[in-house]
Amino acid sequence: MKESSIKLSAFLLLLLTFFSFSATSTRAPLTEYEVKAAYLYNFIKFVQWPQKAFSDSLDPIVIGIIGDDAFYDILRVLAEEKTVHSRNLEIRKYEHYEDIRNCHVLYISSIERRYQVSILQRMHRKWVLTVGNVEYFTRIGGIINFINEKDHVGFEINMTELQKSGLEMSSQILKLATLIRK
Amino acid sequence: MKRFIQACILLMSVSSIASPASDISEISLQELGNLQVSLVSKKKEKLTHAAAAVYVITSDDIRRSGVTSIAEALKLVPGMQVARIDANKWAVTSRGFIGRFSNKLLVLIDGRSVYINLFAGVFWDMVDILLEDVDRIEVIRGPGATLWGANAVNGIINIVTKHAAQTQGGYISSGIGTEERLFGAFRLGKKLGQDFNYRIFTKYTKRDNFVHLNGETAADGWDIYQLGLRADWDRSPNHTMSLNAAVYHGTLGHTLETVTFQPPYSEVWDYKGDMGGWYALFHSQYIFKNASVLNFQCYSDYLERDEGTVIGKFGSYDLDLNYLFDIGHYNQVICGIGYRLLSDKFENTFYMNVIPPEIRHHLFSAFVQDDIIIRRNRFKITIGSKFEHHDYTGFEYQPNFRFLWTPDRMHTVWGAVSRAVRTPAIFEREERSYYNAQIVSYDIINLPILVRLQGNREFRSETLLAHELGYRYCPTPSFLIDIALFTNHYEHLFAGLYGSLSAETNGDNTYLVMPLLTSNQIYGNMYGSEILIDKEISPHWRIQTAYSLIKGVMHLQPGAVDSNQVENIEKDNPLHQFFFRSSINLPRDIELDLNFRYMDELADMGIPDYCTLDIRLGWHPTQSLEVDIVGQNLLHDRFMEFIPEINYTQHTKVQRGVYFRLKYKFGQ
Repeated sequence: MKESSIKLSAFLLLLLTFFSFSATSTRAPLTEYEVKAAYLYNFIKFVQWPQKAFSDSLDPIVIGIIGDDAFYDILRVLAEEKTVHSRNLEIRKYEHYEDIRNCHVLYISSIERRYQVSILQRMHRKWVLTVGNVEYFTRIGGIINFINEKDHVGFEINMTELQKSGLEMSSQILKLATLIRK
Repeated sequence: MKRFIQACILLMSVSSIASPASDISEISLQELGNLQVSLVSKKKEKLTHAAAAVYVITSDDIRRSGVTSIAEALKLVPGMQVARIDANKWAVTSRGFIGRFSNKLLVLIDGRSVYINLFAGVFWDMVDILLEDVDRIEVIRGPGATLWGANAVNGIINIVTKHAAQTQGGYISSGIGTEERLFGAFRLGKKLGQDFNYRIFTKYTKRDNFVHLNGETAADGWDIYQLGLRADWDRSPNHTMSLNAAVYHGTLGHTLETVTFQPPYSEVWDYKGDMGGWYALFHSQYIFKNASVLNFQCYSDYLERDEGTVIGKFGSYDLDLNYLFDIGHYNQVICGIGYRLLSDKFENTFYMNVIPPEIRHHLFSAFVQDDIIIRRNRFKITIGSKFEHHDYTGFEYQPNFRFLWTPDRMHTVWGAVSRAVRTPAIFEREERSYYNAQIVSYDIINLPILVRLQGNREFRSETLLAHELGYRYCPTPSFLIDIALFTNHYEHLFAGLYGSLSAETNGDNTYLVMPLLTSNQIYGNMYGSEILIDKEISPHWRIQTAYSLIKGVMHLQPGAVDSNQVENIEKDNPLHQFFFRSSINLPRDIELDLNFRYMDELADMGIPDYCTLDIRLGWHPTQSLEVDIVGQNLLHDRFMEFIPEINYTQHTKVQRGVYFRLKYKFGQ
């Protein structure tokens, strides 16, 4: 191939690249994080915690997050405006796996497998909805796990772990999930 | 073209009806399940936390590129140099020193090294795993010797296959094509009880001949079949075990050019030989309550290969133990020990002689590395070193120092200083081993002169001192700019050194032997950069653009005899490399993928610059069926990518190819 034609094709490709960047300055579609945050909000709406899981009726629903900063920011905005089961939402970010305590929902993401296993082994799992984001999450004792399917996000639920947790989940969620019994 | 652009803009606008983050709570569960989103964050996460030039090829990248071998898949990595020598041989390297035996690149499959000790290289045609089972290929450009050990000098390729739980059910794929003549694979994944998953697979591939430089059909067609399994036993969340094993066999052809005592002193002949082998790898991981991890791994790997002039049997037996633990909240330590037995056996020919024909090597290693968190999520440093004992070179140390600075979520800056060594290959070190490379004759001397590549007891490890600096900009999960800069300083690089002439007889022939001894006479620098722009324009369209630059300045040590090897290293680097990939999801479940590559000239071997283009059109008529048609090397009818450094096998021209493939999943 001649040098000039190579230069031309390289130039055209660059042009195409930059054209495509500018074409997206309009509104971006939902990111994976936003979709997962929206899911999480829905999970909370359709899960019933027993009274004993709270110290009084003003107690907020505590959502603990470890690992994923982007997720924390999105949820914090959401939590400021919303109440679920007439309780406020409180978002807590844990820096280290040993800091985790007293939450109703725990979202675990972007941390090494060894920490995930350790967290699920150490924590008191009664009345805690654990949500994860890795292929093996339900195998190590997590309840809900997001699964990326081609170009959309789905989720699976480990029914055995759900029963152990003592939480009640609406069939609205169950019918959309891939159910696992282990 | 205009209509195409309009269609693309339409696609983008359709996908951007989504709402800002504040009202995501209004979206119902059903709607969420149907939303199309960019699913790139996982890959990005891995990248943004690495203090090295890491690139990850996902299983989806492999599927959409239409590549049919691991070597071809590596063309998807920015800065990687991959060239096809003939239908069954590839030259693969990163950051310079490309060759059929690119000895500075370490290749691992699930932790099993496929680096061959004879030449210090990889038989890429035997790296023949089922691509659909690959979870990801992690590629590190630059040294990684502290964790991975000797020969991880210019890069590490780490192929990770899927857990057996991810490949449940049946899978069948089959295809035909002009170059990819006939291929098929069958896999069956099952569950035994609750915690034990396994899969068995078999695959077969037959590839066509390429063409000789004069246009005649070459004899480099080949085929390979394989039968393998993977079993995963998750005894508990804390204790997991896996077993990978396979047996394979194939035939490979090529055209040999070898010495003879009759003028013109070289003869060309076609040869078809067998290759085959087996491997078994066991891995066990135990996670303690305090999140520390103990990993144990052992494997056996045995292969045989007959290339006509070189016939060998290569065995490696490896034991590894490592322990990962935290000290307080700010130190993550990993340490380990390993032992490897390499046992090689050769059938000597007139052309290639290895003495002793049975060679065993013992390799002992230990390493320790500490990740020190200076400020959580902001600044981290890594220090560590590998210590190895090799029979040839004795004690080697390979330390590194790295830092990772993430001032905020969008920016990452990293840097590293590391030392790595490339230990001698058998043919470089054994002084009674040789390869009869060439016969030259002069009118003034009436005896032909045989040039003989010969090992040298004095040959020592090549060393590298690398300085690297990297920057990543990731403003959103769907946009990434990744820049890496490096300067590599090499010492004791391989060069041939002419020894003294002696006379020898073989049958009726008397000739002079001119030994070309291996020596460590070259030193110098290689510098360059790699830039990647990865952009998900919409959930339907992703593009990647990469550019890389590499330049070498090499010198001969004082007193050394000039040879053209300095020029080889300097000029046989593609100064510029460029690639562009586009993956579009069209309506009606159609996928359109385009891979364009530009490779600069390899001046010393005389390969002019070239462009290649692959296009894939895929269709998913149902959830479980995929049909695709792939065009490879579409820009040229035939072209040359590489000339091997040791020319006993003839290079051929790569041909344009088209193949058609069906994939079907069942019983999941």
